[in-house]
Amino acid sequence: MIFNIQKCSIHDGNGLRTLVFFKGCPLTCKWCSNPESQAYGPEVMESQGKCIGCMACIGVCPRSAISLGSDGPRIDRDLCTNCLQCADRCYAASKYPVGTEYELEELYRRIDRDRDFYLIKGGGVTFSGGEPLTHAQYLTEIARICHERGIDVAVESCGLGNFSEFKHALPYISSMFLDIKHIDSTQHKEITGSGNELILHNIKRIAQSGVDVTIRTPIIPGLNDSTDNLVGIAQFLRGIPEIREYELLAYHQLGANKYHALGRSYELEGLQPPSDETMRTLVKCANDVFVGTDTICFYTKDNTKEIIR
Amino acid sequence: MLSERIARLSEKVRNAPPTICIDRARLATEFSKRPSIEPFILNRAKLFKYVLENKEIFIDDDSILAGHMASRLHAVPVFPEMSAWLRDDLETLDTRKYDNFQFLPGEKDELRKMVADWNGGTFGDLTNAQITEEEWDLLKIGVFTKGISQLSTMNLAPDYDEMVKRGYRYYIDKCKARIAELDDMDIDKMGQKLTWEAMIITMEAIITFAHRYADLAEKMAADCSDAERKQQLLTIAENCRVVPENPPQTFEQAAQLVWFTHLAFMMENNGSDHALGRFDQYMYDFYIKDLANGVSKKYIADVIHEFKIKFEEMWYLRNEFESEAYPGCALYIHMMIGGMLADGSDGCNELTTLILECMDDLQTKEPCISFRYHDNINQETFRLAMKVALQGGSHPAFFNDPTCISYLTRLGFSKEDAVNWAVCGCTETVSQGKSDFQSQMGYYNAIKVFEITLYDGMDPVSKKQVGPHTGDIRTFTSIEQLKEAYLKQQAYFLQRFIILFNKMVSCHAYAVPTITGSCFTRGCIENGRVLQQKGCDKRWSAIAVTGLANIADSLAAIEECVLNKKYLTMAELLDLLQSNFEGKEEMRQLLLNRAPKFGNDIEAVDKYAHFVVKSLDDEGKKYHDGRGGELTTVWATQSYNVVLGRKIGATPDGRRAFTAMADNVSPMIGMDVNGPTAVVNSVNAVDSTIPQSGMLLNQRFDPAIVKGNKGIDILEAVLRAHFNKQGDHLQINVVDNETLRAAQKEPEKYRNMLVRVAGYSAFFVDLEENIQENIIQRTLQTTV
Repeated sequence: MIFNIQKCSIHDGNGLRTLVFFKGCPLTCKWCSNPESQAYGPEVMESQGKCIGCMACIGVCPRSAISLGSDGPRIDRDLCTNCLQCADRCYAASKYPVGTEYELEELYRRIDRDRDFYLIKGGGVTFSGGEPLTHAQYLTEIARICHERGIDVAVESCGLGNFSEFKHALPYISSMFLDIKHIDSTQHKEITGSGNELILHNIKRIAQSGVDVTIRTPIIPGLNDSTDNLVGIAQFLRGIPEIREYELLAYHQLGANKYHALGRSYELEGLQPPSDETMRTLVKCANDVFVGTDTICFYTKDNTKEIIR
Repeated sequence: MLSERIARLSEKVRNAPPTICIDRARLATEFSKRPSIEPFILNRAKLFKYVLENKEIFIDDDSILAGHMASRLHAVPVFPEMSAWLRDDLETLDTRKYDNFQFLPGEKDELRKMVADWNGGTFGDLTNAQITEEEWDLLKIGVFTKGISQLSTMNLAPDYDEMVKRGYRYYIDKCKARIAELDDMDIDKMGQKLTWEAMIITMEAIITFAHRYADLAEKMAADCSDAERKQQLLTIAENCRVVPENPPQTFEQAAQLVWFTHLAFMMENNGSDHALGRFDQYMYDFYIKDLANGVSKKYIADVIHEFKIKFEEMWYLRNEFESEAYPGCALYIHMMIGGMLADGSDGCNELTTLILECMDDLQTKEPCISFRYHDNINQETFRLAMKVALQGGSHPAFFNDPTCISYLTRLGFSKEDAVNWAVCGCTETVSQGKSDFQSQMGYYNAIKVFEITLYDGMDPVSKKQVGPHTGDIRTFTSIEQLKEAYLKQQAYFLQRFIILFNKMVSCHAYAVPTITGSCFTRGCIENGRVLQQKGCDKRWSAIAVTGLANIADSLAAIEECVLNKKYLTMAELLDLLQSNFEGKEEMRQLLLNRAPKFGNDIEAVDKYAHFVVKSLDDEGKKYHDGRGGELTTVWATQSYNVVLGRKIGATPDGRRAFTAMADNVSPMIGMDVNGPTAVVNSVNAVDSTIPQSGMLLNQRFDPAIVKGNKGIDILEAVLRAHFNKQGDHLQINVVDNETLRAAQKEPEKYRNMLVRVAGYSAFFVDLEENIQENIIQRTLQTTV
């Protein structure tokens, strides 16, 4: 199941890319900026700003789960079964479904629409999520089709999946962006809902399979922005010479609204993004660990890699 | 880096409040009181001569190029003999919302008297007298506008390639030789003789005008104590003695020649859209020669800057209605750079680069500078052009050589002539020096015709049955029936539009020659006829059209919501439109959200855009314009999408009554949600080679995403893919909403922020709020 197809992306792979977001993820990171990517089934999102107050949704809900709140009709998620009838009736698209099943060829056709653009300065498709590796069979099929028809395939992943299943996709993938959110498994479990043992193991296996791997760490103030964590991750990466790039991503709040749209609360409300200074310090401390290796750490500012040594 | 002189000059021009200069009006009125039975061509030549001999001139303290349109900086001349509208709009010229101009004390009264003197005898009166009741109705309803009814035919594209090698004396001698060859006389030959005489009078008058500047410069030099300035003044004097009469010897003289010529166009007649053509090509030899003679690149850069500022300074007076439709005093004076040469090789040279570097230092509103792309383009120069465009100064726009060249070869130009193409108007290609093209036929408001179709030939706003009965759509059961009805209405109204234009353009043949332009357009001297009397052999006109996305979206909405999904019936749809969705907002939302929208790369709707473009072009091809020329189409709206939108009721795409339509070939505001690649794909679902005067595509990018080399990569991918798909044009704005909002709040801090409106740029803070809002609402392309 796919929850979004985003064209013309520049930050997730080489060149101009079409991002295909899988729906469903084994992690529940507190800062997740795509909370609609977490559940494996279809859901309804609510954009109260678009509501025109026709109240039709209240009338069609078979569970009487919708009632008038201070900002318009809202779904009681405890009662909601995701039957999508309200979204179907909402002409203003204030309540709208997320999650679409695509036939492989239909999805390919959508990716292929921008082929002419990929040919110019590079580019292709990037499967993201959610966690694409947990959709191993479908991922393998669509990656194979794209690869065989000349479209470059990249994958963004948290690394948590069944290697024996997703390894079949690897031959069709040219590059992967894999996250290490914390080097300490207990802490990792605390902030993402799962330990990191399998993730670290998968990262090694993927890197050794020949896929070009970039490791990423989203820097979440207070959760994983200690220099100890960064040094720990960097030391782990020193042991995998196939990995040359380590990118730090600054936390942002752009996903906060989506929690409200799903009727959920956002735990990190009010958390400020890390300063430029913090990012530079962290990049530098990772690069200190990489001295003498071919690996570099960087973060991206104004579309340019900032490597601080 | 800008020199101090250029920085001062630029500030001065930008800060001089626009005023009205009645000097020319005074002279033209005075001259016309002189008893005479001269033929009009001779009379117009002598009037122009009289103006040039007597108008007040000045040389600004920071200038090294001579010549201003008015008697002071940043002022507009008045053409009381042309403009019947002055009678109605004179009083509000200094108070109106858009492009207002101040009068010097007492001059408004004086102009009011002159306008009264011309009452009934203007060109506007002549053209108005040709318009029937029915045509007035259609104009009022907004089915179309009328083009050059109070303007000259403008759109001059002189042969600068030849002129910079010759100077005016060569053309004067050519006319004299023709006269000398006359061994007999008849009616036609007398027409030719009078035309050649008028041409000679005109060119001599411009030469004399230049000499007046030479005299003034010498006088000022004599009084000047500053050695550097004194030398500059003496150089001005020398230059004005050499050009325009003789072939220029230096880059500066060549620039002065081109400037005098363009200035003459703007002073002889009202109107704009005169093409500068391929400046980096015809100026290149001078550039090389200057460098060899020890002139510094810096000096040449300053000449380029000043040359551009000269155009920036030139403003132009429109009536109140048009000042809103063309806000920011657009002149559409285009300079082309880059592009291929006749042998297919690339024309980018050092001068191309220098011009781009100058743009990086200082952007001006005019001239519009456009970069011509082709497959063999010099990659470094192309990247530089994109980098400059991404700085946010709104220039250059990008054009695709193969498509633009094909427009002209299909009009009968040889490959060699077609390669030398330039732009008159927004995107309309002409072969420089060899074309008589008309960009101002008026606007054919296709969406109004579509609206009338929905009401069986009745205009729902005025309730007048203006078109033929083509069926009650409540009885329609297929989209084909609707398309067929639309085509019948289109055939009916387009014919009326063309007839109206043909009356206007025919009046020009008997009243308003553009003599200077005729001197420098191939065919006119040879034939002894001015442009208006078919002097040039290659003539054509472009039908300008509005409402593309709205019609496509409307057809798709009807197909999807009424015919396929049956959310509502045709009768219900019609009720919704008539009531402007009153009390039925959810049905409006349905039309907005449940039907595919143009701009998202969805075939189900993009196919209708193709249908609209192709069918209109096909219909136009059945006619000729009043000069026996072909008709082409151009999809560029200026701000007519806002102005004409006010005359259109609610439409099936969910657009509310009397609100703005989509601009140019852009998707409807807010409807394209899939990024620039999807827009490019949708636009190219229309065969771009059909409208031979172009399809104008605006894209606005978030400055954050187009930073650095990666930003240039994005633009390059979008541009080249668009052009590989045969798109003809793309221009960009790089500014975010916050900046535009900030500029609205504190305009004084953003006085120099240029934005692209249509085929031209304007200072954002000079635009009226309505238009500013429209620009802010245009989709901002961001990426993740």
